[in-house]
Amino acid sequence: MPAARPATTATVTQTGNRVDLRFGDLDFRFDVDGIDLPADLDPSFAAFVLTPIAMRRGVDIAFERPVDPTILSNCNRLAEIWSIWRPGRYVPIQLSSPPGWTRPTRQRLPDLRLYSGGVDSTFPMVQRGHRDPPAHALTLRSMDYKNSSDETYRKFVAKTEALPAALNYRRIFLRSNVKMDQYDPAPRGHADTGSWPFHLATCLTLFSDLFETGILAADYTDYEDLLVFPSSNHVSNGYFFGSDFRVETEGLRSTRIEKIAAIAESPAALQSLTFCTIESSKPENCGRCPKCIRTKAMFMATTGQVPPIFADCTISERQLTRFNLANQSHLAFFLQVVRTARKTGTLDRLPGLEEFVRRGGSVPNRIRGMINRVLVERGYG
Amino acid sequence: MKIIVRQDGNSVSVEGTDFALTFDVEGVDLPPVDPSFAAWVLLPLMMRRGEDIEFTQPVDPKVIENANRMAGIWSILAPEDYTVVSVTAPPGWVPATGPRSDALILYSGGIDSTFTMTEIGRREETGTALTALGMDYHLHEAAKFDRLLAKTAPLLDHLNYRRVVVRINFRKVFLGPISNAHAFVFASCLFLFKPLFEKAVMSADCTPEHDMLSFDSSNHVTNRYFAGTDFRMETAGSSHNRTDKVAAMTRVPEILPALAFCTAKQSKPDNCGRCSKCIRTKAMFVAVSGTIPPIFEDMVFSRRHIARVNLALPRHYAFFAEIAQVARRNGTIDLLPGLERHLASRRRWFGQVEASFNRVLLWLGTR
Repeated sequence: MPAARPATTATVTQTGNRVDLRFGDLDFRFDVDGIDLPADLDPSFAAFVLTPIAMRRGVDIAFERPVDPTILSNCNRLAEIWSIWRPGRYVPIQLSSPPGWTRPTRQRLPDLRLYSGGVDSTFPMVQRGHRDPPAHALTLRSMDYKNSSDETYRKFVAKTEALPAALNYRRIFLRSNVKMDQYDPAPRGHADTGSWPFHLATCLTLFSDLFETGILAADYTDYEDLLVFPSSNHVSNGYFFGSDFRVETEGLRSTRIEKIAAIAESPAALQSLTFCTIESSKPENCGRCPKCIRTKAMFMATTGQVPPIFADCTISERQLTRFNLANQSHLAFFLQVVRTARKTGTLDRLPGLEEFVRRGGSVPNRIRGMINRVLVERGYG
Repeated sequence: MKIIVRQDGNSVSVEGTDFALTFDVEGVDLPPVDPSFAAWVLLPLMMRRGEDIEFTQPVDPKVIENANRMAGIWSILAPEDYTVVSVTAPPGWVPATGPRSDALILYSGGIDSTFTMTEIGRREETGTALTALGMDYHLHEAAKFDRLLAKTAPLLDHLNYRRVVVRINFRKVFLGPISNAHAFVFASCLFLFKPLFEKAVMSADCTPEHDMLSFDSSNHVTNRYFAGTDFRMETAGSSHNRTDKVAAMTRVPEILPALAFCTAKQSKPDNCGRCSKCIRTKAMFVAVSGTIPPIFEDMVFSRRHIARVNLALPRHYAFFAEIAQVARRNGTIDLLPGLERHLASRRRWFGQVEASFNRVLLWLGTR
């Protein structure tokens, strides 16, 4: 038998719309605005966010109150999977709780979807169209805007109001002090800690007493998941469900460029679109950062023009050929941009891009790509 | 490139301007085939050349749609090997008519396809299993292939299957990496029999979790596109990992003598017991049952064998980490001496690699 691991107690308490989660030395706080939480909140939501933290610390999780056994079982499985996917970072752990979990019988609303104003979460809303009766969209303050000022966040909320209003969504806001990059730090310089989808699953499951389904948006298609292996992927996300609540990942069959094509048709979506990561520009889109340039190229390829949602709407060869195509994600995006532009006859408005992609990027990039392939084949990737 | 499919009884060829892919069938009388089957096998060949596929005979429009989708996807998944091509055909395709049997199963004698057959169990009505020569067994290994057929025949009898064999020359024509092409070839072999069957079944090599670590042409995402209007290829067993499959086999002892998974040329179709695949399978048997069945030429299994396993490759690590998880649950971990230590040391190594190589990986743009 393996040596017993220490178990850390997880305690969930609630005061109105404020929910506190204590796990060892960590105190997490969740504040909800826009809907009233029921008094006897299901504590199962906490299992998802605690799993990567405990995997990183090598401790088991013992809940003080009964937790949905399906969620416990799924988190145990996720711990097994991620400890195999990232053996240098995570160890398999066990979650447990006293028996007796039940959900009080109450009528629940059909779905709650995460909405950040970005391309991925905007697309499924546009695709789904106008909701009747009104639906609900959840916006978090603990992700892209966790370090932003209150003023910037207020501007963000105002900017992203047009689309939910046009499609008949009521907004719910959740502010938390969870900073996954602190408890599960990424390797030096790495932007993706790998555990933020667990945080998203927790934020949605927090509302499992009020909704039957939570919806988060896919970053990539399912086949791009194989290539890029993002932390939010269709395999791992498939375990974010409980006995009577499920987190669904929407948009797995649509590429980013197909999403852009759909968004371009909706004036309200364009008005609300905000994806730029430059703090000084938020919530507007600077038009100069890699994410903005990539998105401008996608708009150009699909519609033949760049909509006036960027501070800088120009597209130049210098901008387009600065990407590192050794990065599988960039290569996949730009292959699709070139392919779409060829079909729509807009290739001449993307100067230098076709040749840049055909060559696989610049010479240093091609050398990087070769070294990367050798490293990956030897298990270093 | 213009493509024509010709048939002479049980011999079918797919011809381009400078190649002919041949499919020779034994074990059943082949009715006139639907040229749609050829779309799959042509994809890796023509994506590698970067030439469009232009059928000269009508082809199932759903196959055309899915083949074009596959070309788009694989040009992204393997841009160094494949470029996007378009697949077209003249109109006028008609669906299958007449009665057909339910399913054709691809069977190689390996763990995955044997598991699928045993999950289905003994057939009340005689089923049909397809075994291909020209892929795992090269065409020049016909004598070994005949031994494989003899070795696996008792299991087919036991489960009430008749056998169909297809001999294919794909590996003589296609010079690219076979791991990115084999599912396309098998899909074509199965679609060839559409006039006789309503669907086909191929076994998954891996779970979706393993596909994420490294994928080849058969995976849980792209296999779904091997589908036409009136015929599709299903992938069976993807929710079971290899250790689960081995565990299922220990419960049906008559299966074991028919197992043939070793890739060592000198031993095929027997299992050498010394190659990495045999060592891994021995470890799986030990983890699930505490013993190794007498299906290996070399039955020795020691700490030395485990220590020699290269766990640096993520897929290998995943196999052995799962073996250890099962062995811990079954109380057989002590029978796998050194495995826990080997895994722990590799975990530390992965951690160090992640830390040390991160700057390199960042520079490479892969992080």
